[in-house]
Amino acid sequence: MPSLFYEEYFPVWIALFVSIFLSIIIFTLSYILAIQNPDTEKLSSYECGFDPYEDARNTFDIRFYLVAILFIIFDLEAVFFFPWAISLSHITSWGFWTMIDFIIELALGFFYAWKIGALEWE
Amino acid sequence: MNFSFLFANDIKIFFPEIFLSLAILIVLIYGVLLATSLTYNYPLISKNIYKLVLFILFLTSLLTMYNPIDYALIFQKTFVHDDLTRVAKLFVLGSSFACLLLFQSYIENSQINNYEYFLLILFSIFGLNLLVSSYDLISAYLAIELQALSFYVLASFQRQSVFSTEAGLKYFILGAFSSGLLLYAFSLIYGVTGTTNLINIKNFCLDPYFEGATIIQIALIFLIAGFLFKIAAFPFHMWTPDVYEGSPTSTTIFFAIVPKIAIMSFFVRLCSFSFSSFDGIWGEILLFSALGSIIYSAFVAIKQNSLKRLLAYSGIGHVGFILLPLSTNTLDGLQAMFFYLLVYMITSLPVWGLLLVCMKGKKNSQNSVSILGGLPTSSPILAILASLAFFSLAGIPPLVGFYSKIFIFFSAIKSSLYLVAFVVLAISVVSTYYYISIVKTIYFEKNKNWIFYEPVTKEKSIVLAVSLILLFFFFFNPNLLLLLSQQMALSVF
Amino acid sequence: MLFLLLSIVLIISAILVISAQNPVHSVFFLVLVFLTSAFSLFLLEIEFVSLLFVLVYVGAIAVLFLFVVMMLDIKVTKQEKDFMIYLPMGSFLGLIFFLEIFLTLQENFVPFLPLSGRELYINWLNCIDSLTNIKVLGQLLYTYYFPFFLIAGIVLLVAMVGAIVLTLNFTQKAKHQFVFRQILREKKNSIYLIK
Repeated sequence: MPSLFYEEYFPVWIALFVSIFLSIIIFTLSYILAIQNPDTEKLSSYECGFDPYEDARNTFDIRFYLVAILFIIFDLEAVFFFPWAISLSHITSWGFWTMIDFIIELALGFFYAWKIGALEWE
Repeated sequence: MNFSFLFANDIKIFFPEIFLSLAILIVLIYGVLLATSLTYNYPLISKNIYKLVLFILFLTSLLTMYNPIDYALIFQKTFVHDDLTRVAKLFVLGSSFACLLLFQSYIENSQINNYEYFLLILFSIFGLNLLVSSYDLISAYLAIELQALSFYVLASFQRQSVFSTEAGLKYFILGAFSSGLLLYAFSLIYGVTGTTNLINIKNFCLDPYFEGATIIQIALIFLIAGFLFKIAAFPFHMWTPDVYEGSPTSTTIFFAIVPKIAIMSFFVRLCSFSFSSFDGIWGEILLFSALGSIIYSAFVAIKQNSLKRLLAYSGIGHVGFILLPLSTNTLDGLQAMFFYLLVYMITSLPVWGLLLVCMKGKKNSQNSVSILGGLPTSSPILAILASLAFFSLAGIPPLVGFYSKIFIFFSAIKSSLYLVAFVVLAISVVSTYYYISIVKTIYFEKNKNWIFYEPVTKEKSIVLAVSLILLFFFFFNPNLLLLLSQQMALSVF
Repeated sequence: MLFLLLSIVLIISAILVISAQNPVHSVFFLVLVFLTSAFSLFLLEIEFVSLLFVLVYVGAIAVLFLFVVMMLDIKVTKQEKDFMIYLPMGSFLGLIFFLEIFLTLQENFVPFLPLSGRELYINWLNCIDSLTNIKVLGQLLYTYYFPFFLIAGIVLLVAMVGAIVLTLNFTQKAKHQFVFRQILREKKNSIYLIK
């Protein structure tokens, strides 16, 4: 399907390919050109001079998870802003107030999270 | 374009939902302000919020009942307002009102102190009301998600209990899977027809030169699978006993009674209205599912020891009875289906209320069938009530459950499904056996252990009494329910 | 061509998501799935949704997945014994399912390919994208279909309330610093007699 879409995004294409190409070059050249003679001490993971005695992964507080979920929700809220901002001149005051209503809904949620102490950290 | 002019009437028609959503937001803020206030020393406000929620439900049902307009397609034909939505919404609101009255004391005893419990119930009622009135695939999907999200949280609300979190997780994973199936079906339908509106889909399907008929057939399979999961019918029922048993009993009651009518009313609209010309396909699938759930539940429920699981399986059987007349795709069938749904909601209230009486506080272990044995000595009236409710579920004549079953047989026979009617008749004898064996446990089994029952509160007793009176009243005068179900069935087409 | 390549990468990485032994690796393959699907959406000229994929799925949901994987405390998933029992039945059902979808899609959607001969001329007016994807979305979502938008807001609110209810520990009280109380504290009101 011939369309102007590809022509408009052509500079992006070029930038993308250049960046992929460049990163491949840097990665492979550093791999090839660098002198490598590995031994056991070099390959083992380094932690302040002694052997790591614990796995890096352990269970942690569920609050991190809560923060991540709240982040997703407000991220989605921000996503809804983009089309609104672009077409604001066409959607009259009705569209404007729709968005305000949406913001109020989530702002009440934010207020709830704040008051109940979901954002606090002891 | 002047949108406030365009939507002026729509907003007036949609007023109950707008009121409900605003009320939810206000309850959210009111609750959090009061619950975290230092001056009142962090009060427990669940009883306060409970009364507020009852009041909100009452006002919403008043607004729904006295909506001046009879029929309208609103918001760019994405929502509908007609007799079906009005009656279904009233039943959703009324049954959740009754459920709240039933399980308030349970919530207090089992120390669910967070006021968010009632808030989430309000959210799910809002979602169910939207689902009833949606006339577009997107709005239906949004409503289903709203309802399902709050249900997942309600199921796993007792965080300390392993059973409750397990129930919530199971429900969440399987529910998300079924939502995915639904979404895939919707996208296939949209891909073929280019529209998500029910009327436009109907017009596409009626067109003899329509090219996407095969894709619509596949989409229908996914659609039916998703919806059968949501109402817990036969091949997709496996989550029901676990979720019902694990989640807090108040949540179980809410799951069992309220959402069925809302989901079914949208499902009926989709099947009998939009895809009416494809009734050969969905009719057969639904018939299979209906027969499967009736037979399966009858034979599995006999073996059950736990009262909650038994009631969950009997619920699967009733879903089979609900789907059976729908599969005929006739007006009589739809009327019988809606009649059965309404009667099922009224009958489930005393049955599940009985469960609440037997559950003493937090002790989840005390729910085997044998604990009903002490009922005649401790509270003879409650024993009579329980046995009458089970008789009505079984369909024994002086109660309205008899009519609801017989209408379904009539509708099956009218569509010349003689073999099906015969098989279902035979199987319902089996299901009657286990209902009556519960009554036998109540009256004729001596229980050696001490049994303690929850004292019946005033609200609970009112709900139980009213629902029992209705069971008798509608047997001698079923015209009201018949008219309501006929109105609902007529407004589908 | 590029689309084909991307979809092959997508399918392979989607298979690797479920077959990778290390859960962290499968999350990274999931990120690759999101990226390639975003790219294919881009090639289908749905640029807003593709950027949204990168923003929401790669940026936020993959992070959440990593959190969950970290919390699960599973190092390497063992190959289950049941796997071989379920494989024949599952692959059989999956194959039937795939063929069914494939055949119907083949039947219905192929005639719209450009090589069918019906596009002997190009109407250049159709090729000008006068409205971009994001503009179309914006002009419909906030006006004609605003109930969907507001219901989506309520769904997000439910998600927020649900997440807080299920995870927050209400008993613990965080220690606060009340600045005004510290400033108001003087010699006069900080010395008092305790009887």
